[in-house]
Amino acid sequence: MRPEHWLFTIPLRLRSLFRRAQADQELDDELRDHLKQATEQYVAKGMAPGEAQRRARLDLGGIEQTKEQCRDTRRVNRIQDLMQDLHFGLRLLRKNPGFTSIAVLTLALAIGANTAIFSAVYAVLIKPLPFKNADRLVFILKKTPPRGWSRNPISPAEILGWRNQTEAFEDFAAYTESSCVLTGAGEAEEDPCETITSNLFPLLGVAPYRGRSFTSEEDKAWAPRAVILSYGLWQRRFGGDENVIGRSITLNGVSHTVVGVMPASRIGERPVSRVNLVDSLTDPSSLSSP
Amino acid sequence: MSKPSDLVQGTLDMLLLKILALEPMNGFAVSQRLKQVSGDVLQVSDGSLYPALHKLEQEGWITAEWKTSEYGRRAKYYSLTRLGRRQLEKEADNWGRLSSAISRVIKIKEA
Repeated sequence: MRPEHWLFTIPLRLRSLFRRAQADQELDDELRDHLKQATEQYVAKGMAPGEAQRRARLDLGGIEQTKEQCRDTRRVNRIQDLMQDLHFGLRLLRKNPGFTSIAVLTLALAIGANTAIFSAVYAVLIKPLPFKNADRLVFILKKTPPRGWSRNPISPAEILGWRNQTEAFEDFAAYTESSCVLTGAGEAEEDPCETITSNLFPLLGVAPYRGRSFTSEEDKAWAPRAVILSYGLWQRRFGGDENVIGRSITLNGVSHTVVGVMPASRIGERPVSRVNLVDSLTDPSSLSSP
Repeated sequence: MSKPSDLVQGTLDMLLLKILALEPMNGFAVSQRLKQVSGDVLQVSDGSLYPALHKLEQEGWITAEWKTSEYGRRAKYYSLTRLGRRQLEKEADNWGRLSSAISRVIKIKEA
């Protein structure tokens, strides 16, 4: 409808809704005024006052019915009825505290359980991975179902073969989990660590918090070893020192140059607890060279 | 007594708009004026007059105001809005077309 129309009707509807008592009082006054005038008119025509009043009432039809019809035109009756039903419902609930508490408890448990299940399902199944083009990422593993092996080791040569000979994927990146022993500059400690190919972070769209990611040169076996620290390790062992980049640390007895630090959220926001140190993977092509 | 359903549907609205177009007045005066000008032919019961007035008010075609009448009594006075004037023109137009069409049909001479 036209805006001009709303200009008139919206205030009226709001008034009927929130100032119902006043609107009803006015309706009452209006009809009473009418009765008075009609009675006076009948009296003026020579009717007895009692009879005149009766006739005036008769003309108006049932006063309550007329009022109800007038209220109907306000078109907020449905809302008012709903409010009345709600009030009635609440009163009944208060009258039966036993029933009420059981019903509320049942609802609370059901809603809680549903929320919990949904949260789990959402986190596991629905929530997208916090990576670039998450819908196009696939996770490849090797299985031997007859023997019940669900994760066979994959050799660097296989990864290289897949990368070079498969058209279905834009890129392959690989990682493996292991543990590293960090020595020098304080007590020796063993940390979970990941060994990755240099293209993993660009493929996932993940950038280090400080420093840089690995270069493809660093994939090569003869390249100087490089490492990216986890944020936690950086804070704990190096006190968040900005100058740690470029320093040399000893992992498994081999000297590595620190080239970067991962963000606090590790990889994106997914808590991958095992990423503590990130080591560069040996390029499989180097395996063939002596 | 004739009920509004005996009136051609929708004509009560038009009649009320027309009466209020003349001057603002209260419900009782509208009822009197209706009887007076229609020569008692159109007998709208007071019981259906008020719902009709309230409906017109809710449509935004008429607006109501509480005023003190000449006898010192507070009364609700209705008057036409701009929207109501437009609505009246529209309905009067329709009515003119409808009634002239009907009278043309009625006046066809039998062969």
